[in-house]
Amino acid sequence: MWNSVSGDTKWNDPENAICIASGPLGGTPGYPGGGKSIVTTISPLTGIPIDSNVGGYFGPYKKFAGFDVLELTGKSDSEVIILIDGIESTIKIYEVSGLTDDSYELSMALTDYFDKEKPVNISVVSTGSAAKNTELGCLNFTWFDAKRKRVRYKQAGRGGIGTVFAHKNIKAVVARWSTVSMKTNQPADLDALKNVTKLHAGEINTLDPKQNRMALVGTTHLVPIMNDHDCLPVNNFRYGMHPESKVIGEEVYEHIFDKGFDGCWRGCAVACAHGVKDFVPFTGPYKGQKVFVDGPEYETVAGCGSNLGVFDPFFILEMNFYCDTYGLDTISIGTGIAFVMECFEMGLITKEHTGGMDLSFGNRLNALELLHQMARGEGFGVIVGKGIRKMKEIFASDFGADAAIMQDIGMESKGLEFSEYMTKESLAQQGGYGMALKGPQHDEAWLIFLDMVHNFMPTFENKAEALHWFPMFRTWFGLCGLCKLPWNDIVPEDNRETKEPAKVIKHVGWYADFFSSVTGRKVKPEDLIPMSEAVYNFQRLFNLKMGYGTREHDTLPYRSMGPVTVDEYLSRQERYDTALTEKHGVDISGMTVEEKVAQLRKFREEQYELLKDAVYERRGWTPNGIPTVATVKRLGIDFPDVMELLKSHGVE
Amino acid sequence: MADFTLKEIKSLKYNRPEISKGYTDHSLHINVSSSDINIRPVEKEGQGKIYRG
Ligand code: SF4
Repeated sequence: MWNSVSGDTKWNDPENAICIASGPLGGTPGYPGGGKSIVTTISPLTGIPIDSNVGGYFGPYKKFAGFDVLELTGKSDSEVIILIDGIESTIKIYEVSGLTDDSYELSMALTDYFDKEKPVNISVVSTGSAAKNTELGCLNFTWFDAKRKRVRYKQAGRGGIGTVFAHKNIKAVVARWSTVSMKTNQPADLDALKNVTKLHAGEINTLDPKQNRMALVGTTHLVPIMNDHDCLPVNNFRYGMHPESKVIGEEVYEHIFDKGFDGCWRGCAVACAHGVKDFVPFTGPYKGQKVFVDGPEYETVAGCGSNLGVFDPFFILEMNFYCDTYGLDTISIGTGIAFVMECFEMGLITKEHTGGMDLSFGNRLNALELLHQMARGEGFGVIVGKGIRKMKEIFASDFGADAAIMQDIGMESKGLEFSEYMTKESLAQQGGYGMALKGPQHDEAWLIFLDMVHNFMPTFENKAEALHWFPMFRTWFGLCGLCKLPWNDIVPEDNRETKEPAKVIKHVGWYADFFSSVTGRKVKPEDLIPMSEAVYNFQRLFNLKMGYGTREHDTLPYRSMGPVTVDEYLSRQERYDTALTEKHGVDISGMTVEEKVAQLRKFREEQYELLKDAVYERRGWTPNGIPTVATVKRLGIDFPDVMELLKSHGVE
Repeated sequence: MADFTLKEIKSLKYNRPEISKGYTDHSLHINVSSSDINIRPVEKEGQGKIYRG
């Protein structure tokens, strides 16, 4: 991508590239999480590189067909389908007509078309109709579920990659491959690979039933945990818990999910990619028909449920289904509609602007109608589909809404909508979101528990260290073609007794062994971080090249740091009063709530700036958030164009 | 679903790069403006730093 785009490239320029890679370890059957791909492009929402980690069989099949990475550039005049056929060693481009835009039907039709006899040989990447009309488009990556005899999919959801794909007029990319075994990836040491696979998969099989039960409930086990710790976003991140959250959590989905093996890659022991059979939507083009819904995962439940003030598991299924088939990111949709609902309740926008729709919190039918409008490219849904950053501009310039309050409650940073965790009480997670390279997505740094619940990082230096190590290690999974969930969602029984339980060091050791056994490069656990540190810094430099990547772009809306409104303050008054008096030494007697809100804000914003200083220093960046010359030299990424870029920003 | 039609506009037969130790050392580049299909060895410059994990 670096070579394809210039600093002036916009998301919809033909030279913008979509790259898909599955790393050296991607495509290892049986190793838990051993079949992911990473997808990158210049995002329509942020203007900088977005990366999205996705399951499904496409990445491994593409590699087995002969390619570590696929790069798609240009813009076709007519809709095309690309076939990468590793069985026939042929690549074909087709013009297509008469094929539906809906990913749900399209992926089944193309699977059938390209290998009717052996549909398991096919993986399809596609988006949907709403990706053409919004900037929130996702990509669906399929695999054929032989037991259920149907196509399933996972999403490269974040940052509008599907929008770029649709804009290029690519209808689908199809990979075809046949038999897969542990030998297909030609590991350097097959016995060592088998050994470490057995250890990790065996541990998951033993411990998952005692821990999160992900093979039964997927990531919905997080709903009650987040609710209990006041971290489940409710009504646009105003609140962190709700008494009705029980009806959208694991207790309910355990009974709704179709039983069976649900790995999004072959033999993944976690098997968390659940779905719902014979769901009957009550709106839209599939109204009254039985469909299969892939999901929901925690993020969809929280984003399209509690964050919209809706506690109805079937509504969430319908949002999930239509987001997937229309090619929409459920996280940006959830957070975006939550913002719209709060604007509506605050009177910043009215029915006059929404086409007559009441968009108060909890209004299910109108939330769904927004999705259908996005798919049809009409109505207020098209404005919502531009994402929060652009909505804020439109609401202010066209509807006269108050820009300052929207800045506080619009949950985006760098232009990307927040994923679904409340960060008000976790400074480290605020840093995890605000200093994430691509925008506030938890896959780069998920520190909320370690900071808030376990208080593992009381000082700025502790937090800065965590904001160095965790993003680097999490990046390593993307580089290698792996899923992060098996690393720390199911942990060894004696993990608590280890020196640094948060790192799950036993598993880090297994990952080092896994890497060594496949690549033949003997590495130890401590070698993994420097591998991704180079890439992480390079991505920061890429942001810089695109006109971002400095301190001012690592900002957050205040809603993510503390209470914006009096109501929010009062909902947790004891907590905030205690923070003011005990932590900051303020005499609050005689202060109005408004004054307390303002005082707390001053402290919390200052703390966040101090955290930035500490993190930049730990990462080897300047106070303006740019990697120093010493850092790029140490990491071996001091390429001539990088040095030129640094020089142009006064870093020498 | 309504019938759809596919019209082949480009086809390339290739020698499939072999995988060794998790890598094929090749990348596939498709430009949909021109329908160009290019297969390239992975650039040496980034090996061990950017591309290799
Ligand atoms: S842990 Fe879940 S999401 Fe990750 S690879 Fe396995 S089934 Fe897929």
